[in-house]
Amino acid sequence: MEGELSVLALNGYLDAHTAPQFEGAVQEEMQAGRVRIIVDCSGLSYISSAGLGVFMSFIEELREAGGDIKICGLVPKVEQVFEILGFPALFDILPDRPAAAKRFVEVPVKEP
Amino acid sequence: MNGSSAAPSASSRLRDLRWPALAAVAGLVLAAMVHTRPASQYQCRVGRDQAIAQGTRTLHDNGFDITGWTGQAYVNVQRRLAAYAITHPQDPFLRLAWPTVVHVLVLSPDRKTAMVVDIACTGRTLGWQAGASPRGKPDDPTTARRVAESAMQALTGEYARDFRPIADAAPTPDGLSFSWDSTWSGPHVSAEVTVRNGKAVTAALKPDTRALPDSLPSAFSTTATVLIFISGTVVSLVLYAFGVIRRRVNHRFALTVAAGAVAFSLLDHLWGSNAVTSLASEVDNGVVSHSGFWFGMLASLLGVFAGSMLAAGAGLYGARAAAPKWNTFCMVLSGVPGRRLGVSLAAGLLAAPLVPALQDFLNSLGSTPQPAGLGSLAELYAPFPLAGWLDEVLNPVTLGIAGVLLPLLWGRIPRPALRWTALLAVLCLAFGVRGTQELTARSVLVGAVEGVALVLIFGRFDVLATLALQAGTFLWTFFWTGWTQPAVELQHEALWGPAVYSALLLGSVALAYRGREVTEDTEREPLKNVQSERERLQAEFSVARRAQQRMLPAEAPDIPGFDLCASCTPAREVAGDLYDFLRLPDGYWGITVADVSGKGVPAALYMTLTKGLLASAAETESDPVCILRAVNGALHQAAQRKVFVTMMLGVLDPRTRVLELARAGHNPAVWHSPMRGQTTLLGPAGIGLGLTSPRLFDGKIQVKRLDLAPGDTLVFYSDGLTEAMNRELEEFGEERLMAAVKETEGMSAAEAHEHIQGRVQQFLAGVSPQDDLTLVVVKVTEAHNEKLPALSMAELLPEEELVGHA
Repeated sequence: MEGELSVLALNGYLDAHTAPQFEGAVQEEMQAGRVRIIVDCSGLSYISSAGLGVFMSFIEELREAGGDIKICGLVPKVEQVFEILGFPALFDILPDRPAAAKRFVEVPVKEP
Repeated sequence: MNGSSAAPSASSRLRDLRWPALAAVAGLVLAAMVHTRPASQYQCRVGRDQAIAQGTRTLHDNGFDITGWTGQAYVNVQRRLAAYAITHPQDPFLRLAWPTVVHVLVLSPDRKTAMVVDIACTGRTLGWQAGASPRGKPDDPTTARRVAESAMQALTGEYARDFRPIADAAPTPDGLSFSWDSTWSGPHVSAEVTVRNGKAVTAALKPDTRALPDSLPSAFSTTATVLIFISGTVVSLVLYAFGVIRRRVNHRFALTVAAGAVAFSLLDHLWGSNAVTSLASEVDNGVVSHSGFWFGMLASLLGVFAGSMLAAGAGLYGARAAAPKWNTFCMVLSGVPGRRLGVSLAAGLLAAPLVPALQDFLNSLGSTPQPAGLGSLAELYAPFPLAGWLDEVLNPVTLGIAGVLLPLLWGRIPRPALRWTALLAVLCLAFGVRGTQELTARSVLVGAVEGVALVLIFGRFDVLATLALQAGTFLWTFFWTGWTQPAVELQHEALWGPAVYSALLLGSVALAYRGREVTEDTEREPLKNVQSERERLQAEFSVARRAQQRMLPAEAPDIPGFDLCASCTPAREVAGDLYDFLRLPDGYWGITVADVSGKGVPAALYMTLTKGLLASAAETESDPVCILRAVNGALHQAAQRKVFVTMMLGVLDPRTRVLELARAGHNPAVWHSPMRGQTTLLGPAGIGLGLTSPRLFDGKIQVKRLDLAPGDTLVFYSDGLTEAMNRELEEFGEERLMAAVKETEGMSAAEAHEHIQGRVQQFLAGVSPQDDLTLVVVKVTEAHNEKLPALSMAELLPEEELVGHA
């Protein structure tokens, strides 16, 4: 089993201005064939709808390729936003990187 | 004119130039034919430099010390004499009186005094004025007469014996004056010499032009010109005023054009024929008034500025339907090297040679041709040839015709036949009347040639082409006028005409062939007045806001047993939030609040779509989950995951007071029930709309069933309310909201609504909200005297997660 995992760490604000950067990073990983991505949000203080949209843009494609995005390290404020939106039903949300890595072993691709 | 939106190909563009190219060839051939006949009516045998040399020599020969003095020259034409010269070429009168005269100004080194020498273009000196000499001892009449006679000999030459003296040694303020008169029959010439200090200070040959036959006084043409000028100015002024009132005048454009016209006029004033004529008018009795010169120039430039600004502004505004005719002109101003620019320029230039050729041809027929090419003659004697050319091309008059009159008539007369007729009539009349001394059929025809050319070029092309036509016409008239003069110097100067013309034509054809393909919008884009753009957007925003307000329910529906009140306050001009009351099948009512991700216009557009989807689903569904599933499916398709919508939807059965609540990623609702003694946040599971396919969405959405009791308050809101931030960067939050809702116990929905809003505003303390603020308050009325048991946690939440509890 391929053990390769990529980690993208988000820092600061994820809004309409910075979302394209995040999008570009995910695209790069995807094109390089690295479809198992952990998004570490411990540095993320704010997320807007543009940022949320980035997660949604790639998730189906990644999952079809046998990969996934797993989110970890959410601060309470941002976690609340995710929860209201119902993201926990779509994404595995873990406390930290090791937990997320472990999750990839247990549930490589989250089932809908 | 060009109705199609597809850009024509290069070859079809060049095909537009077919007829103008033909016109060019025809014009050149015709002109060559016409001008092989005997040389022009002006018979200029001396060029500028020659004239100045001759003038200085004359003064020197008469005893004036002019070492270090500089010379200038300009040309003047006596129209009556010109006509006479052609009809009576052998009249001895014409030996000593010639229609075209070169005035040579000789200026002192300090440029304070000037002497003038008049030389006929045929080469004969016609007189001089050497200015006032200082008073010395009075002259002896005998010596004075000898001086006078030798001066008179110099002037009259071999015709001296045809003159007899009529006044002898008459004292005048300037000296002793002597006069002679010609003895032949027919129009007379008199000679006058004034002597002081032994020198002939003034000498002049004066033709008696009053005796010349003249069918039409020049006053006619002058009056007509003045009238046309005044009416043109009035029209421009009125149009400009209207445009300013309607705030549709592009002031920046008008100013740019005016600045250009002033720059060109300045060139003329400094190096063109204007330079010297202005100077000449300041020469009075040999004293040069520099302040007068500068003042005159300033006044003239001011006039050009005002006139051009009026014409450009009025023209662009008044064109209306003919506004596209200005496009290529605007392209020049904004420096866009578009193909159409090249085509317009080339078209006007190519059509140009035919105009003066036809006019010269018509003029050469018959026995009384009219003086023509006078402007060109003046330029030939200017310090720099063609220095005044640009001034001829772009000035208030040309702008008035090409920019105001033609587009105005073109844009406002819808029927083509009527349009062409009106334009042709107006222009032919204007030019026919303006340019002639005699109102004969032929002279009107000659003027009409120019009028027809202008209309044809304007109609087939545009404003720029019309101006290019005038530019080309001038260049060719310049050439032919100079080329047909005997003076070699003038012939050489004339070559500037074809040189500039060829350069321009080559450049424009190159542009027409290889220029940038520009869409009609981009052509005008740089010219858009920034101010009016902002105003236009503001106007559009307010329309959008009003339209949006109308989409929100005007008033809450009247549901028996319930009291509702709702509002949405946009953060920007338009909102991304919505609330709605839906009449569902079977007597159910839908109450919903939705929030589109983002703000402003993009969010508002998706809000509109969501509303439509809701309305459509509400036609057939009364189950909240089904409605949300339908909206999600359609939104997911439409928005492609770039945008999502969160929604809280409650379906109420008024008869049973049961409300089914479904939530798609939205903020939880507040439920305050005094009868049960609790205030809770309700947030059944559900993902935001538009984020996932039905496959994922449908499985996650859950519904919560509420048994509402009288006195209950249900509050739906958007995150703009709970996330409203004050100066201390605190958020209003759910806690404060629940407290506020509790306080509204016993109030009506409207009162409760106002109270909660008040609490938020109080909290914000003057800070304006960052996000749209939406609030829906539902009050259950009809108090019965029941006390219901408090619901346990298990009853409240069979399977769902509770988000908060107070």
